[in-house]
Amino acid sequence: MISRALRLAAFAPLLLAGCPGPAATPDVQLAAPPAGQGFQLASDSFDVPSGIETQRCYFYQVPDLDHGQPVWVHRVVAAQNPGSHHLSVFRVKTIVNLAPTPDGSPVVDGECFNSGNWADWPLVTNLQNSTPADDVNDWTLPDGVAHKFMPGELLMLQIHYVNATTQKTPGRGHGIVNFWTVDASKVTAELGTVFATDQQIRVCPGDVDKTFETTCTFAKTPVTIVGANGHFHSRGRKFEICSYDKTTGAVSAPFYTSTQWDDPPFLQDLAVTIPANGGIDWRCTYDYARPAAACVSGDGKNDCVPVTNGCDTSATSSCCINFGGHVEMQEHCNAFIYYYPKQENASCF
Amino acid sequence: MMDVGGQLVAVGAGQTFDVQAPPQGGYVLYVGVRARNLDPCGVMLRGQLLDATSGAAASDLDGRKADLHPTGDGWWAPDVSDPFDVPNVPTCPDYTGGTALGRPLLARVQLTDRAGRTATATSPSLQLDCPRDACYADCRCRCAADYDAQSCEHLDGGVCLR
Repeated sequence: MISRALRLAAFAPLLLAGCPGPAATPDVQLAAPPAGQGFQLASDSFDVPSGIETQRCYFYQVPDLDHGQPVWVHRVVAAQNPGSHHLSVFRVKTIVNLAPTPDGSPVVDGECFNSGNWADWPLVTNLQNSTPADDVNDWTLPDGVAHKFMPGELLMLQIHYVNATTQKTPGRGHGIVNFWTVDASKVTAELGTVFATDQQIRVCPGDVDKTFETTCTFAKTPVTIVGANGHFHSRGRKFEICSYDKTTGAVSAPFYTSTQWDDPPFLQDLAVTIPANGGIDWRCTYDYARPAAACVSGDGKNDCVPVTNGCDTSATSSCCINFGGHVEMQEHCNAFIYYYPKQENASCF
Repeated sequence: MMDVGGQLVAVGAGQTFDVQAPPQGGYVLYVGVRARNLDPCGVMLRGQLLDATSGAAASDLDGRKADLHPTGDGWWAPDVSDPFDVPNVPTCPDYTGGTALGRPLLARVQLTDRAGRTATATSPSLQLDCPRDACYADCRCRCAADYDAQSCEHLDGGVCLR
């Protein structure tokens, strides 16, 4: 029964949307894989009015494509309408306050914005492309490497659009992900992922070169990182990811650097070796220009400690920005890592 | 070291500190340092736990840029009332199978000022434990060697889910 309801959920939004009227730009199109060659997840097409920031969570079950056998996915093609802030897919684990709705409709904003709800949900894939010329990402994993899904496994597709000050959405919101399967006999290693999110961050007006760094050790045995991207918001100036050897303390030169917060690079041809007892070191550096006009405290608390040490006597000590998913008023420092062979799921924060 | 009352306290040899539950999840140790003869603005502070016997890393590291404030006796220190300005050393869980509990450790803080000058301070030997509060069982589970996320779900009636 649950399976049927969720399967219906994949299509219901399209029906309920009815005739949305002419779009400023057409929705991105992506044909689903033919029967037996994969499956598709898609959001509905929704309006993103001016001044609005919206995040939607959709739930789906992995179909049974081979009589109950694992579904191995070797190629992921993701597409989204221009203006998207992010699209991510997670495997659903512990349910806190975010769950499939009885009627299969998406969870819009609210609990879909609360990252504590998916704190232990392993990453499947993500995309941050936002420009019209770069709205599709086609990634074939290295030979022998594949995602492993079980039929009936619950997935959550999350898509975030902003049409406000920091980011614009020219048309409607819409995202699609195609998962292309590969025969199990061709798989030699399961893909693993790390969603590492540095949550204890705060950036205040007047801050320059404000940096946060942390490490995430997840490799019990040596692994190879094949893909990576970083995610922060408009105050983000530089995002770096390095390999880290916890045994020796060695941190490599960055293998990933992003200076473009709203359309960051997604490296998919990496071959970064991580030793046993190793992982990543990631750093986010922010500049936050002092607002010209009166501002609203990003965290709603207006709780910054007044500057009393002479470092910047003109600093505005209010209106600081803390960790959170709202682009306009919060910041992120999230690293998305794809590697093989898969290790235990790690949640680094 | 920042104690559970939010005060910066010097580490006495053999002293036991409780790990703390931060908003971001897991358990951390907040570590600070006192310093002088440096540019106190925009100082990068990196904190990590080491095994007291081998000197090997016993935790992940956490670093953050913060301004130091005068302590009134010629020294400068981060504002320990503000957890954003002191390293939140990630202590539990350890995804590589180790544990920070029940073993002698050292807390190390490396400081780099805007001119690139670096200094390192290492504490006397210390031990870590879980706070004896409602989340004690959750903490012991998440800080155990060979951590298994599933076995820690819904402990303490779910009030400590993180």
